[in-house]
Amino acid sequence: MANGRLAPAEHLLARVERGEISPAEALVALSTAQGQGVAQAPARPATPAGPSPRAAAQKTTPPASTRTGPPRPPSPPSPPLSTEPAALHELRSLTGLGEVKDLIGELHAFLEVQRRRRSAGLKSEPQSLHMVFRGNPGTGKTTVARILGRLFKEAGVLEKGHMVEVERADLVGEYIGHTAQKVREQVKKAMGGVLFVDEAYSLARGGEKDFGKEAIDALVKAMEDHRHNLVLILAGYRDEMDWFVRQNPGLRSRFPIHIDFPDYTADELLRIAGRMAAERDYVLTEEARRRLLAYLETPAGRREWENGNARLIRNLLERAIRRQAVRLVREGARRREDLMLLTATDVAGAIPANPALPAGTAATTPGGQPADPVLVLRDLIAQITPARQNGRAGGMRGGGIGDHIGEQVV
Amino acid sequence: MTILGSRWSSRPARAGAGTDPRGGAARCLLIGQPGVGRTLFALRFAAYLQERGGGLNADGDGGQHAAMAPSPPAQQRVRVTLPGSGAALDLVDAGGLPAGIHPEAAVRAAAARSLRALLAADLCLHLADAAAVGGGAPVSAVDRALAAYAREFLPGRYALLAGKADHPLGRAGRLKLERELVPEKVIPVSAVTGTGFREVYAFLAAGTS
Repeated sequence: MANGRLAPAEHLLARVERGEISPAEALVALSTAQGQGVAQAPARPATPAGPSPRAAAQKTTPPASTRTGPPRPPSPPSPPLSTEPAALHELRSLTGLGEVKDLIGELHAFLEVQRRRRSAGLKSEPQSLHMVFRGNPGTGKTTVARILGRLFKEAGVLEKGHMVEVERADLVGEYIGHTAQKVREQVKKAMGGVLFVDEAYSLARGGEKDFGKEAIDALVKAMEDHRHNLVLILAGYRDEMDWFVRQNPGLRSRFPIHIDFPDYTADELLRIAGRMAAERDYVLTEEARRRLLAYLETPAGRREWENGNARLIRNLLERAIRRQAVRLVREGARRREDLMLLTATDVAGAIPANPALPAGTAATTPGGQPADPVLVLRDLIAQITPARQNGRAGGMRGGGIGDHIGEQVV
Repeated sequence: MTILGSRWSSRPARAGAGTDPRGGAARCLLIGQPGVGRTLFALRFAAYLQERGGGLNADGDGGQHAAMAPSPPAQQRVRVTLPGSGAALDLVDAGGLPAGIHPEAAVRAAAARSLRALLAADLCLHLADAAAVGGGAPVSAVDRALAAYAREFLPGRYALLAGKADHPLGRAGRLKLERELVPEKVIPVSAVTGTGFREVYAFLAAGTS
């Protein structure tokens, strides 16, 4: 310490510790002390002419209108003040989906230009916005549909921009007249927004006595009656949706926009994993990421990947988080970073050892012993039951709870 | 000339400086108010550097704890090697700087340590919550004071990180922070999406070259 007494900076920091001044006040005072040369600040590179550092440091909150000082180097150009809607920004922040983003970007630009043409008194092009989304589960179809609703609202195409998600069970009745009523109810809920029909191909699978065909006819009628305030999106596996459109002549012209959602690449799935973890204030270690990648490269992992994509990652992550919790309680770890880090051990525990088990099912205890089959079954039921209540099979094709039990219990 | 016994240099310490007690690594301080996401950003950014071929100092347990070295309470350090240049860098996650005078002594002591680390830093990354500012929260006095201090005493060595850039209000918040803090450099970042990590790396690479 200079001259046997506390340097001014140390004096100020001591006052912060004692609670006499706030950190902000200390910073201002430090700036003043250094500006006066008391703290013996070193020579700095020459700056353009302007007020002395002392004068500048004495201003704690310089109002913009009176701020003087050396001219600032120009900041990198900001993107234009928002002509880009928040929904488009959100779409662009999603991992992967490059071609989907390009197509929707084109669509948005088209709608924007048509709006400007109408404002200028020019003729505008009518554009049907009903769509078919094709892709495996977990590839972002529902997420993108939801964003599209908001995008269309921001573009003035839809009044509310919300999304109603339905599947066959929500549309197809059990007796004559019931189907039309169910479709009307769902259309009414979706008015002003997007009606998203998942696994739409199932409407055409029922056979002669099935009312699925009635549902298709009722939907087509709704599209015509409400074409200015409803967007219909039909979604499902690629091959099945191609078959569905071929089975129903007239659908292709009514659904001019077909968007493919490819499976994510391994790199994209790892980025999704990192992002999902970060959203929960967790971080995957490098070894954890490598373990996850190794699993995706196994035959079982590839099957789950195709059937789940991002949903697979979410299930694995949630399982890894539970395994981490068990590990931390056992280890007694309390450091902040310990609470955040998901290790290779946690990820390994989340991966099923038995390929027949869906991802996220515990096959071993934390100690590595074979899991109690009753507990495995209970875990499995807990995973499947919410999906069953929503009428979905948790990413597995055609799976009802009975099918799963038949596969899993030995 | 010294302040607080630490070497004050107008340029970042060069890698390999033999007499540098930090073993030649430049010290980059990550600073900001409590709760802005410094720790998450530091861990994610360190992982980002490692993915791109940078080095990360293992903490002696197979790397599972990603090089968060033992450190004084409320201050964490990770040593990274920047990919490309190979420059060594200590990324110090300083304890949060509260807006006013905090009633708890431990928090005030941590704040004093953070300010001490600022005086010794070669580079400074100032993380602010752009989403909160975009949502209407005022720009805090401590953020203003940090930016003003850095403008005068850390030219070319300071960057304002507008955090939570992925948030719908992040952009509006960043614009407001730029207007009110007038930083020399501002980088929108998101620990969730990795936005801005490349720009932060470029800033650190330039600062250690």
